[in-house]
Amino acid sequence: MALFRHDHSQQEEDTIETVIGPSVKVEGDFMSRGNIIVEGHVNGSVKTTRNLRIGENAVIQANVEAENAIIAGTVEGNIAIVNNLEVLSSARVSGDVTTGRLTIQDGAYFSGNCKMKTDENKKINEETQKDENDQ
Amino acid sequence: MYFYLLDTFLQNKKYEREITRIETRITDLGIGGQVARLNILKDINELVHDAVKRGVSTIVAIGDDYTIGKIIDVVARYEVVLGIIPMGDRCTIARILGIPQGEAACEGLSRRITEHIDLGVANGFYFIGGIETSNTDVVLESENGYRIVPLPTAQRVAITNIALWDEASQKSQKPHPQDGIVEITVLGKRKKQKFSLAKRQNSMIIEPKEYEDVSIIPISHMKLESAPGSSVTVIIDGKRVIKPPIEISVAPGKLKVIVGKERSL
Repeated sequence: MALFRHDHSQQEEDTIETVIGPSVKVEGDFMSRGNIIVEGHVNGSVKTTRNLRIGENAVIQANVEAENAIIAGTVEGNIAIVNNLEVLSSARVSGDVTTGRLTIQDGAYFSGNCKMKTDENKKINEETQKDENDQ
Repeated sequence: MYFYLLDTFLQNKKYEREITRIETRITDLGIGGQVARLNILKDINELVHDAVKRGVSTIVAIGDDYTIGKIIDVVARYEVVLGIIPMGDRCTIARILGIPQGEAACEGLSRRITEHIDLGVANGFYFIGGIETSNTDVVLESENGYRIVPLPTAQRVAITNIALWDEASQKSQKPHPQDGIVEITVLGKRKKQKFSLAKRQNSMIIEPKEYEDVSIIPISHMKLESAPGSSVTVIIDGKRVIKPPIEISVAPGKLKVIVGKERSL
């Protein structure tokens, strides 16, 4: 099962910490320091310092923050990704996107503004994140 | 000093020879001690309390996961080490701790390699495996400000401290009893089975591999409440029944337990 494709290693697959399945709804601000897979419903916000995968049947009405993300489901909210964002053909994204790298597959629905991070911005973000982690 | 607690089911004749072999082996190894047979007339709290007063430092459970579930809340309240001699069919906890079945466990007891493992706490009761309910009309509130609401398709809700299922099938989602967290597990639709599985009463073994839809959310402190108008009962370690609201937390490293060489901690 390839959870995170491309340059994400097998090791990352082994460290998935949170799975929000189809039988669960999460309400509120959900934060994690590990990888997250969402196949269910989330209302509020989702933040992780690692990778996020939003499954085909997932419905997220929330702002999303992650290091890398793959979106195959529905997201209604703003998305902030540090590195790679991949929007698959089945995805429906309504909201503004900020990301380092962006891939949108043919057939995906995307409505919103998109801002690409420059290397300089990335550096500042990384330093801010490092400071936060040190604290 | 050792104190051995033998579970009730071991009175069955099929275990007689193995029990005799264990008794001989622990005497040979010089780790003999008083033996008490658990039954409904004996108060575990009293047994352990009296043993500790006599200077016992190691309580040894002889039995399966349910035996450990029965005694864990009492053992965790004393400064004692837990030893396990696994007997019976459901010995997942012992397997994770690397303890071989039956007589072979006596060597490890004598070698006495110990580890501290986490215990879960539910309304003040300690648990080792997990707590669960098949009535999913519950809401779990995290102290970090979010709520987990099982949807009508959910069939079971569990909070697990230790992986009590086939590790190979759930490699990436294995609760670890030394990580300071427990995991909320919500099981949805069951996989189609060729044969219907016998329903286990008061099971402390949840098996996500039997389900198509599994949610796993790590957490260190939460409150479990019934949805308005529903009556929910929750089973702790397959033994104790309590009703919501339930405060659930983790006692990191609370239990000192004798482990085996093959432990998967």
